[in-house]
Amino acid sequence: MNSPVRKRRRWPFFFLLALALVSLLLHAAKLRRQGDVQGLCDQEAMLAVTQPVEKSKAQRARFYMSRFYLGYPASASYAAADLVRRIAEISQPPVRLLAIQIDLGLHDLGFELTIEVAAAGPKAARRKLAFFLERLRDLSGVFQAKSSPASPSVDVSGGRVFVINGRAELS
Amino acid sequence: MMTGKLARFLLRFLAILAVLAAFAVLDWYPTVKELGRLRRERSDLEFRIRDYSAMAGKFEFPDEQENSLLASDRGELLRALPRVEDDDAWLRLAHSDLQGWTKGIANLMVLGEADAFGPERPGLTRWLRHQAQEIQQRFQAADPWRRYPWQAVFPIDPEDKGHLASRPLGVALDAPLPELLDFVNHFSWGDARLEIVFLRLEPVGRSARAWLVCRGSYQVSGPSPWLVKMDKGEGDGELIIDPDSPLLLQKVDPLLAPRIEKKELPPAGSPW
Repeated sequence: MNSPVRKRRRWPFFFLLALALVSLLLHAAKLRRQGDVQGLCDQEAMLAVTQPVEKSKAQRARFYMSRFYLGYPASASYAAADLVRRIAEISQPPVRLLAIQIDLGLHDLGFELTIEVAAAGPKAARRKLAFFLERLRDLSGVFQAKSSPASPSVDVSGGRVFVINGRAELS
Repeated sequence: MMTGKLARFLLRFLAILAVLAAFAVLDWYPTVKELGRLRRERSDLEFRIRDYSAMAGKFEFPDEQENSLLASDRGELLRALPRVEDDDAWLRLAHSDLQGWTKGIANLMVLGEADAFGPERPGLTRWLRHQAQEIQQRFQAADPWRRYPWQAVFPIDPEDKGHLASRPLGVALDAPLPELLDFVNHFSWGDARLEIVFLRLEPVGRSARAWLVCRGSYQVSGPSPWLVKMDKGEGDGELIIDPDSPLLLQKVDPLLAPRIEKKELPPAGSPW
């Protein structure tokens, strides 16, 4: 007579025990993993102390950057002056250099040329411009040069004015 | 009778579900989430340690020779930076630097500010007034508060009395092209170490006129409106170095470093 009652009273206990067991296992896994992570953190900290790689790398990086800084002003001035010199030398009639702008960056420079091309018509002017662009791209260090897509304006002397944008290395 | 049994069964079932849900929400879910985070952290640490060990295997540790080279380089860098009492002293230094290279140049104007075009120089001043807006823009671009590319090079010691300052300076001139280009090339050779930021040049007959904006860095002991904000790193246009470069694993080699050289321009008519 008593056995069904005893059965009814036991199952909630086993049910709660099973739930608690799952919790216990999860917490045990968490503790173990926390121990692993702490061990690895210690190992990483020890590596940085015994082998100060990052500190030496930072010192070396600063060395190369400071050498770059020390050499930069003279190399930027030379690059700007030399580019103007070379562009002036190839700007021979029918091309006339009206203006040149140079915007210096740390590793390269941007330039903008305004040129006047003396030609009878727009087609002839475009042909002469293409020839000039080819010569410009042949200059050592110039890695980009293109004329502005806008149609050229005609100046008072009858020549056509083009704007050319490009980039060159900072040698 | 049947209804009472069903109700008791349902009540029991709901109670079981409630206990299960309470365990899941209050304990299991946060623990599983924490386990996931710890797993990711562990993988990350393992990767970093593996990476560090692999790098340390290839790494050449510094010796006495390298340490002395690094120390002397640091000294050279700080000596290269002019030390002045105030901004006016630096302007005087820059002015005297530029005067040293004015051979063959009759018309030279140094602009401490974007619109300071006086005293009147025939032809040059009017041309500069015509370009005032562009000059103003270029001065602003060289302002250290907007952009200073050398922040990584100068981690200035806060206990040091000097503060890093940088200011833009303009120069305008009118001269035959070879002399003008010679001046531009020699522009940075002086103690002020002026860096050209922008140059505009226009040939006029057999001559040429130009204006340029440059930047100069210096250590100033007095107060200055041109102090570089060291905590401001916008990243854009700053000098950066690849931290994973194999170059940094080897001992520094002065031959691999950028060269510090002052070259004369080739004579006119030279091949390029």
